[in-house]
Amino acid sequence: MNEAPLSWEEVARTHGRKIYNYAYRLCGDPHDAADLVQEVLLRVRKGLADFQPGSFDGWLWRITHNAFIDEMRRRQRRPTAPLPESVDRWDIQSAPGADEQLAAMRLGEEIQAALMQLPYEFREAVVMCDVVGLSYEEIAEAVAVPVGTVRSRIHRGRRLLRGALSQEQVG
Amino acid sequence: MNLPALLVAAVMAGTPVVPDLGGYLERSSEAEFSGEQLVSCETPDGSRSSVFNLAQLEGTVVAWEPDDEVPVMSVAPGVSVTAVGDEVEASMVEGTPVVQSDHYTVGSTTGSSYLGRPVEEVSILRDGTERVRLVVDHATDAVVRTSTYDGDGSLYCDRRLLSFDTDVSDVPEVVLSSDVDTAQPIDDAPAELPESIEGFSLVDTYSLADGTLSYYSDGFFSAGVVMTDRPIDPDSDDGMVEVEDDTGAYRRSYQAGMVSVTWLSGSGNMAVIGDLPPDLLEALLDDLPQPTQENFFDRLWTRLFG
Amino acid sequence: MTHLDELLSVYLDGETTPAESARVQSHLSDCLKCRRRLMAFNEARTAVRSLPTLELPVALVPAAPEIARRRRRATWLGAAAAAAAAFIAVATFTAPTPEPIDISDLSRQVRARAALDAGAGGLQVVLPSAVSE
Repeated sequence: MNEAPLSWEEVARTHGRKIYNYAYRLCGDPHDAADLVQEVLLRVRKGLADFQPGSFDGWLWRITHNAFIDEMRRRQRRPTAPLPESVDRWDIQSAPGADEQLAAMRLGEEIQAALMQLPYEFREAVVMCDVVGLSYEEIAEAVAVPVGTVRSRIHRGRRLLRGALSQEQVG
Repeated sequence: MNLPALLVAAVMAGTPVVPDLGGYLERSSEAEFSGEQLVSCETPDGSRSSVFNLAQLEGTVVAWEPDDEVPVMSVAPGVSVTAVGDEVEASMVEGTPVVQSDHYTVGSTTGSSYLGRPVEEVSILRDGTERVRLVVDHATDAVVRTSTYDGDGSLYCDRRLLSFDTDVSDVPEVVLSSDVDTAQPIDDAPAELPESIEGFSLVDTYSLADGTLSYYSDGFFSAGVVMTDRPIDPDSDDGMVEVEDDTGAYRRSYQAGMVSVTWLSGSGNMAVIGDLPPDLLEALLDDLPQPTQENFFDRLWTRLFG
Repeated sequence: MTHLDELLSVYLDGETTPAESARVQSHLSDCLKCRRRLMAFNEARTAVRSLPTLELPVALVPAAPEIARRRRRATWLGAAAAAAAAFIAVATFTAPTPEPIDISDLSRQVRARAALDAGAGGLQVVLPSAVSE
């Protein structure tokens, strides 16, 4: 999509879920991810007026990338609250067909845990590529690095990820 | 005459012969005899035993059974042949012979008799612990019985002749066609393999299809360590046991006098084949590339593709 | 032969130039090591792609919620399809399966080697005879 959408609400509807998934896979916490989506939508609303015709995805993900970086910096200056119990998990355990869903959930948790072990730049590149589905060029534009750096970050991220997942002890 | 024989001969020609393990075995390999051999082993996976005819002549050991279906096996320095009828499979290798070992010393020797013949019982210590007991025939120098022990002192394998005859006229002949390639050691062992493990040294490495075979020896026990990109077929093997330890899963097969272990590591498909007692096998496995924890990807794949 | 590394990961994403793709394909057809490596990258890639898509919390959806609700259930199925495509791409390079090595051939070679040593007492011939157990 290379034209600016009409409204920030539309951005929210068309891209909100992707931004949320991006944020969640980067930070591993649903509340922080929701905060980030709000922050991004706020910035989109402010910025839409100045949007220059070009790659909308590049523009949007640059905003998202910057919002996340700013948010991380802000959080580093204040103590973090303990992580809340995952409510979803218990819901799923008691639901019908729980076994299968629980197995899926556990796999997801292991992958998420492995992602969290990656250095931030690698994790971001991998998530933009494999969760959001951006092209290398779009990632390069969003993160403001050369495509060669994107190649290298994704590659190194995957290598570390493979190692982390292979070492996973099964309880 | 091969190199160790030369070296031992040189030692024997000189003045007093200090008894050592290599000397006993080398002199035995020059003896000529035949008889019925029993091999029985107590392994972690149960008892394994085998009885067959054995003969030694001209430096070659031949094992066979009257049954045509059972292969005739023949082993000489650097050569191993298995033949069933006209089907002959052979391996030939060159290498650096292990002549002496600092790890083995002769503990005690006792005069005795075995199969009605005067013999010497020789206790062999590995780093101070008895690991091997040889029964050596006085008249021929043949080792007529070899017992090996696990680290805790329990008997691992007992290999003994049930009959002994110096007549070697009735031994099946194995004809080796000349088109067998001799495997030459290569210079580079895989970086993943340690130079030495628990008294074992990496002696020679050979190229295999898509991999390598590295030979470890401690001067008595020995093992080949295989690392390959190809799958390893574990034979049609009844005794195969799946073993899991802290690090991962192995497939292990003890046979009488021989053990093989296969697993998948990050460096490829692995196998250890040797005659090690259980404790030394474990020590070796501990220092080789560990099994991969494939569980995660297995589960992911099952999840995605059923 | 110089092995490939980063290019394999790039190749999985279809981000290689035509020249690079040709190089990867020709190298993969000869090199088992790199085919294994490609599989390893593909596993990591598939793992992340298989993560279920989470729904945006309703509070964050400003209006017209029917769009967000249309695909309400996080599903592994889409991920499986994506992974399958990558898997098939990789599988084409893994065929033909290399011929397995028979362990009896390996044993024979070890026996031949051990017989060179004066001390290889233990590895002498043992017929796997009729008597067992």
